[in-house]
Amino acid sequence: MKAARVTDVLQESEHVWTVRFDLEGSALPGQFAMLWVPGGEEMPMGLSYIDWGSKGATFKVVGDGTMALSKLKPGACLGTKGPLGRGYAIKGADIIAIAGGTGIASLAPAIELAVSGGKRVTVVLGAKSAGEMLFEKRLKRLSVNLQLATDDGSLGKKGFATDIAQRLVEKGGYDQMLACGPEPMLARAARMAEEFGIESQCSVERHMKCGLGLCGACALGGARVCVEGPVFVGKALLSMPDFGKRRLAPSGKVISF
Amino acid sequence: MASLSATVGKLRLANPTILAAGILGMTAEQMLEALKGGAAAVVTKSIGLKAAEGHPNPTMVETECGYLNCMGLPNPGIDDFKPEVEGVAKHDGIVIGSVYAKDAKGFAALARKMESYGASAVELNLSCPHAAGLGAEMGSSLTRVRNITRAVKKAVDIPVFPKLTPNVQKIAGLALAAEKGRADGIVAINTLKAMAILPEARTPILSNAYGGYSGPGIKPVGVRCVYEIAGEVDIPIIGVGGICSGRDAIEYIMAGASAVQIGSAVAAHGPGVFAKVCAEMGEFMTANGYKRLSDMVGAARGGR
Repeated sequence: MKAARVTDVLQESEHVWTVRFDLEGSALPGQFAMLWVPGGEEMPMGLSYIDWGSKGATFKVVGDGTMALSKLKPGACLGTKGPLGRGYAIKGADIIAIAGGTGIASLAPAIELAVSGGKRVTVVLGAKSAGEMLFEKRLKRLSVNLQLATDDGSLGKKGFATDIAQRLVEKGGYDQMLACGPEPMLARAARMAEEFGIESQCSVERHMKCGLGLCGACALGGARVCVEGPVFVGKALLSMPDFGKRRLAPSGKVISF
Repeated sequence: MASLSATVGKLRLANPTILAAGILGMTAEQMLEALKGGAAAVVTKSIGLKAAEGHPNPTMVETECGYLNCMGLPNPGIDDFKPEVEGVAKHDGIVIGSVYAKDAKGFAALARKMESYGASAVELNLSCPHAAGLGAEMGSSLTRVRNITRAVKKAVDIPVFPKLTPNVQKIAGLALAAEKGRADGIVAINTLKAMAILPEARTPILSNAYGGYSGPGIKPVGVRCVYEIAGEVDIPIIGVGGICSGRDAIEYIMAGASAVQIGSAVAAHGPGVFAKVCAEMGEFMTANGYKRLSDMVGAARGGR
């Protein structure tokens, strides 16, 4: 475990925060780190910023661990492991990225990398409502085709991100689909990509404990999300009988989505 | 070509490598990955009577020569674990069911269920160093090791392998107690009780403060323990602790082990580590004129 210093803590929306810290080294978009507020709970977090000298995580406050993370002050000590896992491998010239909720946290660095590499990028950014829309400004600074979608229609188009994406994909022209969000959404995205013959890469979230490939808590099919993931090729995910349907609770009990 | 087939009492194995308890063994699919990766058998997660979430994170930290963990025995409970054991057994995979309980009666009940699900043997977790009142806390007592082993032996027909803790003055004494309880073999060693501190945070990293140390750093301790146990008991020994290579496995075998378990090395090498270790063992045997694995068992003991 490496000690990092917190440099910035930003409130992104009512429940979503970003913590930046000075962990040095290279990271791939889509990789994650285990973050630990000393004395509290350690959690896996997708990296929303992957600069050499500065990393960041963007997360929704859902419990004591994320609450403690959101209350950190610049200068505070943060225990870190990582970057860990496999990230997105961007392929082709025309990319469509589909983000549900805080899923954009892991996709944003991939989108930035694709744009700087001269790719044409379409981003479908979905949220429950206008107040929960994340990284809208960050994406508007990039030359991407940004499509906003909300479940309640309070911002952008009304509907799920995958429904908006479907209309775009039907018109054709995309080489690759990147997706991050709730697993049932990813299952829809992966099936859509398969149907239209597009390579897809999805970032999956599972309950994770060790983060190092040993404990088996994050099992997805025969794979370990912390090592073989969190980003998987959609085709591989669709061959796993539990993908989008069942997952392991912290005890290892099998539960449905 | 040298034969790697191994026997541990009644258990016949295609090669001497077994997936260690606590590693990947949460689902059938993951255990099947270890078998595909070359393991001759798999040990499940340690399963108890009821579901448990284990300790909160941090539960694992990497150190210079291995890992410290305080998973705290997370498991879905024996009844919910049935499909996972059956899911491996139906593919003809050899499953060793690891169980933990707070008393002999609990161990016996769990072992009976493992047997009914299709497990080929049971491993008794008498050695987990990070669960209050369980594992090593009872596994350090000679009487309890003997009585628990005896109770499980009465309950099942499949082989019974107590897994022992190295966190005692004389592990061979525990092995002798297990043999008196009619154990079919001994598994040694579990992790070493240990701690890691993050200096900048001035606090132990693991949520339980203490954890179990595994990986390359503990191999010499494990080899020593197997050597000592082999000098005290006549039942077979399964060696475990820090094995990453064929030479590591051969050290355990020459100390007196009939087979080995591999756990932490899965992190660095993936589930293919078993085939890697077997290939390296085969190369060593060919280069050194060993035809059968049994020719190497206890070879370093010089008749001791």
